Amino acid sequence: MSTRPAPRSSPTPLYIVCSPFRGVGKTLIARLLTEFHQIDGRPVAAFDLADEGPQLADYLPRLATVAEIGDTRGQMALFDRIIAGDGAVTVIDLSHRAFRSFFGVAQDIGFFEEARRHAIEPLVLFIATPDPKSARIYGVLRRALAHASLLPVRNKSEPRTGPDGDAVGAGFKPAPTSANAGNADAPMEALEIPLLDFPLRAQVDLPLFSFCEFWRGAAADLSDQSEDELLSWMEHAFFQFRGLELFLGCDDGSGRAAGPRSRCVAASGRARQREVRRPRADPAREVPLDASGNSILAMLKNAGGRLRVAESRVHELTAEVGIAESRAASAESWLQMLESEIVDKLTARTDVRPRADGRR
Amino acid sequence: MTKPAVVLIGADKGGVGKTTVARTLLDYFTHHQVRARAFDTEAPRGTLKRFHPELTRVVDINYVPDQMQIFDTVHSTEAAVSLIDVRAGLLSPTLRALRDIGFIDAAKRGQITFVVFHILGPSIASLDEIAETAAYLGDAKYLMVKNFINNTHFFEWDEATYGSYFKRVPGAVEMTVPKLVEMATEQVELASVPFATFVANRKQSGEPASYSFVLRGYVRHWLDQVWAEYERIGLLGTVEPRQAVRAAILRPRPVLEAAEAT
Repeated sequence: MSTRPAPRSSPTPLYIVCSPFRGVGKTLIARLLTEFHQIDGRPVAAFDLADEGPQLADYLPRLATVAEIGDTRGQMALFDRIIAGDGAVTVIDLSHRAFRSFFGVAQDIGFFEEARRHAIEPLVLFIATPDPKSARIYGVLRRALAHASLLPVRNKSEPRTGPDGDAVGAGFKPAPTSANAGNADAPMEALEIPLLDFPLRAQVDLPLFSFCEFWRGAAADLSDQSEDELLSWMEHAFFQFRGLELFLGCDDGSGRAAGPRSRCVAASGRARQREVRRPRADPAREVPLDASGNSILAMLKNAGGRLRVAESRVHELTAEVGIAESRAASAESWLQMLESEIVDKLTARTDVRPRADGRR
Repeated sequence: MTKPAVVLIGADKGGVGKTTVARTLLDYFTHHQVRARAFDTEAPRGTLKRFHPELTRVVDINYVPDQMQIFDTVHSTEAAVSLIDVRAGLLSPTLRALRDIGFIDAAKRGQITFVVFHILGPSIASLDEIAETAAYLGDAKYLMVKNFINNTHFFEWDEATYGSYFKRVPGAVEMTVPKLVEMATEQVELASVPFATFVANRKQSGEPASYSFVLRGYVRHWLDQVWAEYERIGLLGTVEPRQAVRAAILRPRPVLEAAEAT
């Protein structure tokens, strides 16, 4: 009798968001992926292997489970649960500290191979950085992962991933390994997370912020323009995530809510969301003038924030210039001292040079 | 007809993992379709019998009728390999008895293939065992096994000292059994099934089990490593040359796949 599980109509994706470095936006992408599926109304389970906050479980306490793979018991709690599965999409936010041990254990126990036997399609999303070590480690993973697809992530929302987030060079080639993956209809070179303005980034980094709630129309302390910007950013990311499912061959053609909707539909949706979000109970707030005023206020707030940041940076630069000037001045005085000393010594030597008859 | 092989697994010290090695060997032979029978000399209990009940008989190696049951049937049995898991402390006496009954000479004459797995302990006393054992080996294929499954550390051994003992047995081969994660060891013990059966997620009865995937993964990885050592030392070619040729022709299969196929 075989213990092989019954095949499902289409495999369930397992996303492993990882990087051997910290501060490259792993948790942000894991959050987005998790909430993308939540918006879709699909069962999703997230595992948080981060060890410093704010972490995935802080943002998504109901969906994310903190996992620890330092001992066998922890490994069983994570890997056995994923393999047992229940058809839920799985997202793993893998800390840079657990990076090596995760892939080591996964390789030892044949995790990715077993996952595929259970109709789970693993995809390793590797956040690329300009560090040469990053490309080297990506290459090692590419060679080692025979039973999981690998895709680089160009995360432009994170300054540490390089100028404009464009760190994906020749060293980062996608490695689809699934029989269904990488088909001609869904070619993907990299997952691209677009740039997000600083104030918006600050907003989404707030522990209480939920992409899902925001998408569904919950109020956020943002101007209409900022909301549009954020929704557009999410839409771009979601479109990419939809592409990932096609890339993995996990698309069941159900045409989901957060899928690649046309921009027109999304834009009108946004307008509707704003209308829904504004409280109807307060008629005064429905006055367009007040709405405009609020919007202007929000913009001013944003501009004020940016101005303060710029101002403090100017102060820092001014201080640095002052330090550099004083160093230059002291260097100049040292040079003058040295010059006079050299002149003095040379003059003294000339005075004591022996005469041709040997007398001094 | 294939020359019968007798595989002796022993140590003069307890708790060094003799039965573990015997279990991996039985799994290995089963996988390669080499018919094997086993004798567990831990009478009356028999740890090996608990894991491989259909292949194993519990015997008292000091008892002449039991000795007859093992050695007089070597040629007549259908099994190509007779594996004997020798109780702790009985390796040297067993070898002495084999010499006395003319078994060692029969091996010298090429009538029997004789393989000795000597499981080494971590202490220097274990090296003295090598010297003592060497006296009875004759033409046996002598394998010294460093078994790390019990988290043994062999750091006490000075390389030069170890080398000097090692040289006393011409043609001796050293092999290593790596450590298996403790929880995995415990779970297989609790399940009382062969390692390959545990990997295949089956009970002793053959019914599907629900062992942890992680633990099965660790056992599979470990068993792969142990079997790779058996391949390295050419064990199959020693005990069953025809199967060795067949195995070389067939594509090597991972343990998991192999376990499922059985």
